[in-house]
Amino acid sequence: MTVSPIGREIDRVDGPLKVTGSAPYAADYRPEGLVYAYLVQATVGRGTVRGMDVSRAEAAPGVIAVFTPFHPLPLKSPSGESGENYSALQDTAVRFRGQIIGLVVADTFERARDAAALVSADYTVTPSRTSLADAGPGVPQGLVQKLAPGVSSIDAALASSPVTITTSVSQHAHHHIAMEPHATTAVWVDDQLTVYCGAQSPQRAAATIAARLGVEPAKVRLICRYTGGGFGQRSPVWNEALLCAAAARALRRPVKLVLSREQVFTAIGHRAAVRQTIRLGAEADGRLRALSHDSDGELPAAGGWQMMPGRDTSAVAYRTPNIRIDQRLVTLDTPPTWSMRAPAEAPGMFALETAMDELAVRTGVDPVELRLRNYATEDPVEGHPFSSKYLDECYRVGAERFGWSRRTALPRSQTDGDWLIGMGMASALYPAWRQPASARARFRDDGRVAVASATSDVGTGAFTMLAVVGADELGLPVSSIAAEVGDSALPPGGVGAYGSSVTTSTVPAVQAACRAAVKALVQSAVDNPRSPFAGLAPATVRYRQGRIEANGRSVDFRTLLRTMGVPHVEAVSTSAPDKSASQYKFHCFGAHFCEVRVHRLTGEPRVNRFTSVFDVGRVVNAKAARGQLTGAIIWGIGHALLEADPIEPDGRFAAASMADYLVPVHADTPEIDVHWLDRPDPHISEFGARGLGEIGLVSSAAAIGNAVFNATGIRVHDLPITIDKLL
Amino acid sequence: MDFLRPTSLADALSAKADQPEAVPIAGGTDVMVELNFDHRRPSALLDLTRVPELATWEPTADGGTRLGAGVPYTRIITELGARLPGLAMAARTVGSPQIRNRGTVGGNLGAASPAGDTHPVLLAVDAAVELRSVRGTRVVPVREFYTGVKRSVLASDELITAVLLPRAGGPQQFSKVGTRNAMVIAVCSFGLALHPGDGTVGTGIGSAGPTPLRATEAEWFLTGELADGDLWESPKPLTDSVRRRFGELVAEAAAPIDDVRGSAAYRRHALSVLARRTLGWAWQDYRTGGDQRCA
Amino acid sequence: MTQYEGITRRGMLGLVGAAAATVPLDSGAAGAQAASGEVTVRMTVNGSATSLTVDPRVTLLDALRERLQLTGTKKGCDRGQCGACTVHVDGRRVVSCLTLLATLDGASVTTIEGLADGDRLHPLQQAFIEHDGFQCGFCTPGQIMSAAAVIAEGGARTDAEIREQMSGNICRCSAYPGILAAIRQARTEMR
Repeated sequence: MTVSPIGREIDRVDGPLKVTGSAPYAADYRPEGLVYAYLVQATVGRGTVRGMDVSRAEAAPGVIAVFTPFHPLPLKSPSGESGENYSALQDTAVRFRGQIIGLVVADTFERARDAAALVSADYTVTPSRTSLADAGPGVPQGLVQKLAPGVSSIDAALASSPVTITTSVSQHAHHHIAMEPHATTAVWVDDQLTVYCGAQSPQRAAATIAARLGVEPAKVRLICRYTGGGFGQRSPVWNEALLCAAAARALRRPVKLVLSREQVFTAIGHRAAVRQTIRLGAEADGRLRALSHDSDGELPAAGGWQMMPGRDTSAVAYRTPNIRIDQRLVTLDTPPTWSMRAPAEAPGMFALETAMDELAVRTGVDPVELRLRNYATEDPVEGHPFSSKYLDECYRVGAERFGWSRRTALPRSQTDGDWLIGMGMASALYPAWRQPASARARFRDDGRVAVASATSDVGTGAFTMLAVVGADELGLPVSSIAAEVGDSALPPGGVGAYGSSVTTSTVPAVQAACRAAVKALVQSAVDNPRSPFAGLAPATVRYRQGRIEANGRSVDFRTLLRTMGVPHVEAVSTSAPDKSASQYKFHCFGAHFCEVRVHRLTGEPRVNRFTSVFDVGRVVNAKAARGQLTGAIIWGIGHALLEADPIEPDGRFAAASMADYLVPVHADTPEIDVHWLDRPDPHISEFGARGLGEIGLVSSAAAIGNAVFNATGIRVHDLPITIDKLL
Repeated sequence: MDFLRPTSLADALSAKADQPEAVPIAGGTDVMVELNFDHRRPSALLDLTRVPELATWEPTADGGTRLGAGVPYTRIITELGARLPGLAMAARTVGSPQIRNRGTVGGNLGAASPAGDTHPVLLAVDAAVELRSVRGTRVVPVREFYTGVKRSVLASDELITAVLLPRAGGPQQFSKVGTRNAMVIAVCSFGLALHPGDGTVGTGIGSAGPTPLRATEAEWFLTGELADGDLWESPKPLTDSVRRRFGELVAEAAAPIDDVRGSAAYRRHALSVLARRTLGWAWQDYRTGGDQRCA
Repeated sequence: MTQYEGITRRGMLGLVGAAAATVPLDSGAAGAQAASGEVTVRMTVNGSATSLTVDPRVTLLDALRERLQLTGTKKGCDRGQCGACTVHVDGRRVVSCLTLLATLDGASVTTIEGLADGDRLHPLQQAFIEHDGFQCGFCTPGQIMSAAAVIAEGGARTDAEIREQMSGNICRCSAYPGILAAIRQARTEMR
């Protein structure tokens, strides 16, 4: 009897390749005849390239070609996609500092890099718009409003509330800092292009590359089996990858382009800087009467992702009769923006949960109790019930595991030597999103079953998810499943690795594909004349744990396939949400509890410990789930204490290296106690998984900020919470 | 680009004389950052890793230490913790363990970055830098070595061959504030050395000015206080007002700017805190274990 | 591993599992500088004698990846700020991105490809799998090489010491708790 692997501690199936260094990432491919490209980027913030001198570069040893706006590689304009709204080298406009204005190709990496430094450009410079703070309110993009009967405006609702809180918060640009810098290896064989390039959505990326190169979609294959992190930065295709593919086409030889870490900061999108104001109106006991959430997000002229931090946070979190969400976008001459893990939810919930903590302080209501008093059982704007919500249990279990009852509400009341100790909490939520998805299951005559879906494993555990679900469905050990992702040539319909949606969407497709493949195997067993089951009615033949059984005979599928002379039997299935799903609001929930210490004299803030409890539906693999949730909480430490890239008036990022843009290191990581409730969502799918890649980041920064307030009595509204703000 | 690989100091000096523009490279942890991105395009590199004279340390006749410019931080930590306590403390905070296995004090001095972690201690202990060329050898007090942002008195035909550190006659301390718990460039740092032998103290400030700085007023003040109270002979706990004033004078000696790592105001504040605290630790050390150390 | 479509198999040789890549010894004397400005370096890589003649600007990292096809060592920042390129040189961990190949004549280099004993995983490699000490896997070779050195140096006595000693290796997926647990386990097994 095989024990179901679902929810157990399963080692990653891609582990052995990753720990031995033998998993190939995009820059690890080395086709014959490979040459190397290096980018040239604009050194002014906005303007026009008047001319470029490439003579020294072209004369440098080993140089094969230098492409510029004056000697471009042909690319089509982007159409209908968000993201960069121009194609590199097609015009002389400089939209932001760091825009690609040249590509040098040489026989070695060192020579390409050296020659790139020899390219010079003349510019006409126009002033850049770079300051979000100075720009004033942006252009409204997404207004959400619900007012109780008889209430004329949100301002009226706030004005009539016994207690009001106004909280303005801000954060600078954030960078994803996936450990693998963007890399592309492009290989043309006749008119067929193979691109090795990290991508969160291999099929969408391949389609984009085809469209921008002006070739048939079928002519482009993108392979990204191993990708060194995504976090959003690999969901679109950026100009650099397009230029690499175009250069390979022009030069008729494979080209590899690996960005330097510094180039990634500007050539690849960042999380938009955003400023937000929350206004809460409440009764004296903390019950909310009104919630207003205004935001001004950076939207670069060069294109980017629209920062809408209120929509999936303040419009969902608490029972409130009056809500207004006003999300505005401000055009700046900055490098492009893009979604970054919990893209709008992390900043949005930092704002809301900071304000809620201020309301708790003002009303004297315990922060957990305050949230329970405002508990929403349905979407407060649209009125749909939540499909499944056990956030109250998260609060209760979390408070108990953490020891919340030992907290004193009065700031600066707990010390440890020169350290002020504080505790804080915050609630988390993140939309659950099930997309239509497809998968393929293939019984192979080597005795394994290949389970494939054209999604991507950017560290999320998708390989292992396919193996676990396939093994469970087919009654086989996990080791009998060969999982495949990261290839646009897999059957159409793989979902992108974003929105915490891969598991939610793909599990049902894998289950359907496995069932269909079993059916096909049975059908083949009765149809194939060489089969011992030939001629039987399919209904009399059954599949059980890898074996085909009928009439007292039992044959494993490997033997059966070999006997039949069939290398494999497969099925592809697509699975989509039920129509009934539209009646529900699907969200994941969680509660963070955190303890910090702040040095009394130097102001250094450090996180002592975290306890977080999540309601994320059914979990496929406990080991991978813990990694995702814990890792995202550590991102929250970065969000709260470390990460910021201010942009200077000349359009230059002030912290465009890993020495200046600080992400958490091992020594910044405390003990983290992560727990999840095992409550499958009954409405999202038969399986009941809701996705958990991002929720750990949502509100973990707020919990830290609230704990810092409890430690010091200082409320820091402008992230990150650095030493100089705590004195 | 030429790559010069001398195997003796004499060869290294003559190579540097022939090609003064050659960039010396030992651990590479400073130079390579620039080379990797073509910020510098030197016509030649001078590999010093094969020059045995640079890779050793030895005691000097007066009880001090001559530290070869190419001795990596890891060896300072593991071999010289007792002889050079302040420098070893600073070395422990440099970059990452991987960087400490390659990086050297010679490289720190060559780069002369105000954020270099070893400068405050070198200033506090009144170290000297040995510079050699085919023209000869000169020894420059480290207090006269730095001349501007990433600039020093090093001549183009010279190599930094050693650092001369006096015997640690009393407690030494180093402390650094960083945004992250490890692998971080200092927001500011401070080095302190007590010299019971001649009744003086030494200070050094990092990351708070165009060059590493010395807090001369603070040194004079503390030297005077210790002498007036006869505290070297009969060490009592320092009063809060002495420690506070010392901290204020250290902060006043700094010339910080605002940058992504911290504001000028914070740096001054943190320096006063670091100065007070390192003084507290060092004095406590002197009162309890100082005699042994001097022995 | 599956096929690499669109490229000849031959072109891909050396991509995977090239644990003992060896380049033919050339005739240039070690330490000599060729007329072209190139430098010849003889060293031992994962136990195999290797000789390379390269542009003096070539780093150990780029030499391993682009000349010796040992692509397990990763380039994460090229400035010594992330640790993804950590290898051992003469038994000590270094960031190969800041190490010029030309300075390594006579050195012995061990990379992630040289850590396992044939097909048997090194205890750290096994422990990283068991404790989920990685997600995307890109920093993992550097983490494991760094961890091997920490344990060998005796610097893994406490959790605090492991965290401090491993702080030169950034993991953006932030699998740090798993890495810590893996090192704790391997520390015992490697005794």
